[in-house]
Amino acid sequence: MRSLCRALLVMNVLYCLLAAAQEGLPGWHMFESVETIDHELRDRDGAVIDVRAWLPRGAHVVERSELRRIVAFVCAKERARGPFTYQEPSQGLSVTLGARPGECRVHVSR
Amino acid sequence: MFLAERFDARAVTWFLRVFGLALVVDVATELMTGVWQVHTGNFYPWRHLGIVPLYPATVLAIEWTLRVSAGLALLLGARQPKVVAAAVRVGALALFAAVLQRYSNHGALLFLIALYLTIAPPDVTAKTFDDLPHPALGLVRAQLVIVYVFSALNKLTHGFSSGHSLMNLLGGRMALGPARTLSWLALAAELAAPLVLLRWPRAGLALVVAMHLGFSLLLPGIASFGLAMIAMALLFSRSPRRTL
Repeated sequence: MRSLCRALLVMNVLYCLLAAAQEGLPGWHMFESVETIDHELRDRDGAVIDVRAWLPRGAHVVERSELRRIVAFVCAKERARGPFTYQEPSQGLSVTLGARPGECRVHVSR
Repeated sequence: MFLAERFDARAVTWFLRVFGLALVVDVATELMTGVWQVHTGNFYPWRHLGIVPLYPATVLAIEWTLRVSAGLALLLGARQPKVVAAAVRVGALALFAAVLQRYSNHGALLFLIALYLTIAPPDVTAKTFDDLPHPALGLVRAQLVIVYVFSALNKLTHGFSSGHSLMNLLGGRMALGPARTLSWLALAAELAAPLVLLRWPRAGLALVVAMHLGFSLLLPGIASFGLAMIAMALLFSRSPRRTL
């Protein structure tokens, strides 16, 4: 049993080292890098939509890429309120979403 | 160092109880925050890894029932070996399913603890319990060190100490100065906790409790993570016959 435990411990530490070096791998990342995520989503009438209303309470959105996926979800869910205007002022991004069915993804061209 | 350790039966009993409580609190938190809505399709599939499809709410109800049952069994039956063995096995399976559905650090930690316990579910009523080493419990204790060390390492390499991450996390409710101070304090506490636990277990336990109480006040919804860490910290209590 001790050999099994030793093997699990070694694998555990090796995986954690890999996760620390490789971005995107789940590891013991606990809010170490939280971006300022300025954004605004408005429906066709100009009403601001709080995308957090489509998340479990207390969920912390810490990455811009994730926020964009949530925005796409809201756009698809609330198609009747579209088209939507989505802006990220600090990124100089302003796009129209949901003008046509299936056009809810936030594409960024640089 | 960790795998040849002996453990105090009373400390292990309390570890099992607090771990059981963490399982119950985790499900209660999910229930109250609206995770059900994720599985009915009304909410965004938050933290879904995409390895297996998101299952319907009825399956979530079964998963929750299994996790709460395992938690209550540990909470109330920590001194009954058969109950502990069944609870950790059922808990490990249900927690594995939960992590695949919505990945979180606390979910992964609860799963790892349950998994390690399945290797050799502790029988705290055994007469020889205090005399023999328990490698699986040593693995749980090592897990605490791994979590704190790698969390601190990741924070150090990602500029957490600047205070900006904490400020953003709190939605601007805190100025940069205090956020920077708190960030350094959190880092120092994470690095110090394993060392203090190894040298002065009671002081270490107090540090872990204080640290996670602070985290839970700042960020509601992570109470189960704090409870799991406190449970693991209890395993550092000195056994009269512990090898060093």
